[in-house]
Amino acid sequence: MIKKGTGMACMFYPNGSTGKANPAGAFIKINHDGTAVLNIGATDIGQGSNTCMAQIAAQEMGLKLSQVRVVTGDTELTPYDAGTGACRVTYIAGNAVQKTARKAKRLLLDAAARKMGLIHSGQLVIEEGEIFLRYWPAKRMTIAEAATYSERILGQPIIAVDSYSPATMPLEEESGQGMPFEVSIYATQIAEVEVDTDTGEVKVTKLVAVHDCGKMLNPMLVEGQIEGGVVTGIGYGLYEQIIEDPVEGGIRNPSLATYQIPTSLDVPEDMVIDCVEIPEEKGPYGAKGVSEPTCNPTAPAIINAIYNATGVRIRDLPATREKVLFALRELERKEEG
Amino acid sequence: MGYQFITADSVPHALELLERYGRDARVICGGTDLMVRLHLKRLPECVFINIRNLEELRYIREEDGMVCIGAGTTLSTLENSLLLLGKAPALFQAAQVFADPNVRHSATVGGNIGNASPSADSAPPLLAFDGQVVVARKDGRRLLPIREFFTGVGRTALEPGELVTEVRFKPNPDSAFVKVGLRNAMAISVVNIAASVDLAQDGTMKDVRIAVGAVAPTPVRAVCAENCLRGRRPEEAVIRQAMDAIQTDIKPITDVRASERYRRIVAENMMRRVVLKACRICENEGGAGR
Ligand SMILES: Cc1cc2nc3c(=O)[nH]c(=O)nc-3n(C[C@H](O)[C@H](O)[C@H](O)COP(=O)(O)OP(=O)(O)OC[C@H]3O[C@@H](n4cnc5c(N)ncnc54)[C@H](O)[C@@H]3O)c2cc1C
Repeated sequence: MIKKGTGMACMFYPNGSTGKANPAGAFIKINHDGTAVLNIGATDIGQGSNTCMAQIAAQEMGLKLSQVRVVTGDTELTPYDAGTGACRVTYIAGNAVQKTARKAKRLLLDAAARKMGLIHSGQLVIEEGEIFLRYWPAKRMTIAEAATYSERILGQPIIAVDSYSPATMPLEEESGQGMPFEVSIYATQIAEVEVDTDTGEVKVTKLVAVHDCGKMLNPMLVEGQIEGGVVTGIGYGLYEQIIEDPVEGGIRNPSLATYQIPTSLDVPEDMVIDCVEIPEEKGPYGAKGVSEPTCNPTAPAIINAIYNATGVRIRDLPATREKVLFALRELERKEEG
Repeated sequence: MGYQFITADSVPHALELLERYGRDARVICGGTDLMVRLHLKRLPECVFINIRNLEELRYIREEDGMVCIGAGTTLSTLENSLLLLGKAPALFQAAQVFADPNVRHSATVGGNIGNASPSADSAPPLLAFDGQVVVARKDGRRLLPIREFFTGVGRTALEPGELVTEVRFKPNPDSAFVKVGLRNAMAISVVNIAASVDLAQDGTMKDVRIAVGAVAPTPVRAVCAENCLRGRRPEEAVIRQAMDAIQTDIKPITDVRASERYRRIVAENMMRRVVLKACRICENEGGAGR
């Protein structure tokens, strides 16, 4: 028989640890042709941080995205970074990039003000590769001109260095109380399942994931992160387990043939992903991290849905078909008295 | 000796090579079983006789009311065969849930039974159709009932020098297949089961054949369960009896995929599902083996 149920789970997750120094750095150089090179320690492991960091730099310096080249993943060339993990890249490295880009922009505007004969750069706007006077847009020059002028005439190449680390706040020694992280990420997920009571199979028919990662800097990347996290969460909830050999020792499923991860036929066709965008004032353009905890609410939501569908409460993961079937039998036995 | 690899350019050539190399010869077709074993270093040194390119072994056709399938026919050809869809849905459905599209493009029917895994997905349908295996050797050929083909885990009744060229069976549109693995693709069956029923006008099952895999050293016919069902209607009480009876037909073990107990419960439940499906009685749709 097929039994249907729905379950929900919520989470909050810390972002930007403050317990000890947690820095990321950035170098920026603007060339005579108006393109920029951004060197960052944060490494893109497929999540798209190179795109996102370039977006921040481009936005801040008024360049087109295509005008920012990112150099990363090479400790010989790039500044130090604590690593791609704990959702810290967008938040921490993003802040470092924004701070650095702001410095580069200041140099550009100062040069432009000098070239235009202004007393200060306060009324200058930088947008789409050009710098102009807010109240007299016809008065303008390109970033390339400003960068060349700065270097060749003023002797000030447009280079900037900066970094970001959340203010460290050691925890109170006795009580462990304090603020171990600078911000928090929030999410709620709802799973709809069908439990096949003849096999114990749990099919996730629909999954709704709503996350708060502050302002989404790149909605497509955010969606990709959440989708990936949900699939990982389904693996954690229903499939993935390391089976030990109690007699011989060792692991009995040390390959992807026997260590089961979900396939495309094991993830819901109906996946609804949305974000509640509450800008985080400490984050770059209001952004926080999203990635790591996207898988956190998935398994509990599925487990709650199984309970809602069948009355069976699975307390150790994964809820394999065998485990669910035996639990259903056990429940039947109890109910029969 | 090491490994050698010889590509046959015709069936007679293959048979000659098989005779020449005798026990050292190893037929390779899709290679989806053999290459895995080779990489795991679990394959004794041998002379591979490659029959993958033999178009003459790739066909599905009807002859005198029998469906004949060449040993080199891929599972993806099976899952795209309108003939099987209409006349032998059990085999069609088995092909649909076999591995994944990638593997199905390479894996063959001959290799699937030749490998003689207890969980081979094409075996229960072929057993439920009471099929035959056409076996050729250099100096002739023989017809082997599929029931006598599997002799143990990874063992068949083939002699050195022999090649499977075809499987054939009398098709039955009132047939069905159900597979339960640990997930819905790329899964080795924990239980797979096929049923083929001859229905009378009044809905009585004049004859019924059920075969089940991954619950004994070879895929087996569920004779005791069949006896409970034969001559009766697929009603709840009748099916209940057959569900009890199938327990004497099977002898599952516990392995890394599932326990004996799980296999026993699922074999029972899937027997009900597959019989109802073959009789075209809609049970609660969905779940494993959809
Ligand atoms: C990732 C993966 C997933 C899989 N999933 C499934 C699955 O879901 N269900 C399933 O049943 N199997 C599955 N398999 C196993 C395998 O794909 C099948 O058994 C397949 O049908 C083997 O066919 P082949 O042509 O590739 O055989 P090969 O590897 O070429 O040969 C297999 C065996 O059969 C013998 N043989 C081949 N052809 C003949 C012949 N004409 N005459 C005599 N002997 C012959 C060979 O000598 C060898 O011993 C899977 C394998 C992999 C790698």
